Amino acid sequence: MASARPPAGADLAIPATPVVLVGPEPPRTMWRVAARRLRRNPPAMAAMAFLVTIHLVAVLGPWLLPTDPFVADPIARLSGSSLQHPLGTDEIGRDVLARLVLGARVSLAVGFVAMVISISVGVAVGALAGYFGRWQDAALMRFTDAMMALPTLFVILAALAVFGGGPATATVVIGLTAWMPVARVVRGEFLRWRVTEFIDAARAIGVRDGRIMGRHLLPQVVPSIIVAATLNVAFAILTESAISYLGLGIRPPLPSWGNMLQNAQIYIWSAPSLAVYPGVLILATVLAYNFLGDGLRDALDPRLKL
Amino acid sequence: MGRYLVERAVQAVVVLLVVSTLTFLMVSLAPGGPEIMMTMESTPDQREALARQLGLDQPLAVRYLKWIGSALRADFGRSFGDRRKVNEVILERLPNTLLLSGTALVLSILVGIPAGIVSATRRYTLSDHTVTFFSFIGVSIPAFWFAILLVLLFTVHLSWLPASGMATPGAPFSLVNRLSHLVLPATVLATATLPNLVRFMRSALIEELGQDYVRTARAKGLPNRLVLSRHAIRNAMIPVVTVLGVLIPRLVGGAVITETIFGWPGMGQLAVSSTIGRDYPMVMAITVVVAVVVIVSNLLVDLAYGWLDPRITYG
Repeated sequence: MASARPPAGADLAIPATPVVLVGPEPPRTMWRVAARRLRRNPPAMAAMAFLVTIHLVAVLGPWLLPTDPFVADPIARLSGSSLQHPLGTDEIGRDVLARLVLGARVSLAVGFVAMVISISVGVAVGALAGYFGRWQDAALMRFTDAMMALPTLFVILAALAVFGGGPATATVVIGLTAWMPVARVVRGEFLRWRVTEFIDAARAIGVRDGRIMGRHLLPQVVPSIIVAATLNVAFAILTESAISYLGLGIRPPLPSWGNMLQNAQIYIWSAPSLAVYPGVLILATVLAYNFLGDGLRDALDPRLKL
Repeated sequence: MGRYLVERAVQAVVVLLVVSTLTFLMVSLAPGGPEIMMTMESTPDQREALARQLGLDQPLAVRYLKWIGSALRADFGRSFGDRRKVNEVILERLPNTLLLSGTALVLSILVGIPAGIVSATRRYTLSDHTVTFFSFIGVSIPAFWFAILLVLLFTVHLSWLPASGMATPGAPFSLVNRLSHLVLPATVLATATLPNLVRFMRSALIEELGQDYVRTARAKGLPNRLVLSRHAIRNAMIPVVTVLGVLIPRLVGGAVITETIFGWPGMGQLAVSSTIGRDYPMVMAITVVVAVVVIVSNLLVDLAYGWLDPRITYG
């Protein structure tokens, strides 16, 4: 990455004519090559366009929409689409569009925060195990294996039974059940790079462990982390929708795409659209994240297996 | 072979120990732990009595050793809910979950392996793209929503298949009846593992097809069908077996959603109801039993691996 330092001699008087550089193409850095590969991947680009849109809707939508997602209109229960309620109303007469938009904010926020948690834990565990090796590696990786052997949803249920439901707990618990693959990949990369010459050199001039890990080894795993992060958002959104559907994650009246489907089965005859909209949005968003993650993997590092 | 088995068994015990310790600590130390039961009791005397009855007046370490000790004898105490013995309830539920996940696993293999082979041998054709696209849909679709759609189609519109339970209530047991109840939940559950199997089979076979021995087989004039069936597919299957080890936990975990939606009386449904009812002995037992199931199946997968690939010796 370019440094922000001004070029030498920047304080000298510079002629006002702009200098146009004509010559060789910009250098082929890893990021440029990856960006070009990604641009040539139509599914990944379509996924990215969709994700930008849905995130804009999630961030701005609740402010822009005139309807209140919490106000129930008992006369207009389960109504079809109208001018007042473009996507109709739910079983207690709340505006479905407004709830979908606020639900987008909730579901995407849970997905993003859970991803940050899973990536942080995974990178920390993998880095320590891979860098120090020996018993630290053995202990951390046995722990990782044990966590991997457990079926995620059973662990999440056990944790929710103990700590209670709610957005914060659900997000943390989802994050804490998704870090293991990240730890494995980071550990592998650290093991591979820590025996290279530039690390030997860093050690020889007395660079401390923490700095070697953060400044020299971590940049090597950034591509893997980006891919893992994308896939983990997909996983987190899917998991949140499942536990909210079970009534253990995000609880009404706060809408999330998952809990909007909670009653969908009951009203599937009278108002099938209630079951369709949130499901389609979950599917589309998770699909987009998976396509983008796959595209990023191909673009950044085709060898990577996550 | 013997030494390898011992090694794996030791590993399995370590994993189990970690799992049970974590479960125990989580339940005991959490703010909403068993102590919460006591806020319902009115007088301090009653509270103390209940604590003694539940063994909560003893130090944590003692409680832990006691719990481990009884867990080793498969005694997980009684349910907070209906006071039944936890191990009885679990023994009732476990076979149902094994039947469901087993069927889903077989279904994944029967569909996933051929789909992966088609995808790999006709790379970048329409069939490959179709298989890939549906794999992506499969990993991205919420299981419960897919279940609702299937019920809508096959139960409501076509009335071909029942939507809930393991058998028609009141009807005598028949295989056809059981199977018809199994189709929808097993399909939904298989969706969770199928895409991974397809993608893995595809990449493994593509890698084998690039090997020298495949070229040699083709060069000596062996028909393509035989190159695939005698050589490449056999070798590609070996790494695919390892992915089963990753898929089994996912399959068992998927049972939580599937069983709840289809009213399948298994461990997943039990886990949901015990979570809602904060039935701690049940929740702890379920976690440990599920871990045992997963560890044992992974061990079996490992043994199958050695049986498939004679080069592997358990020295």
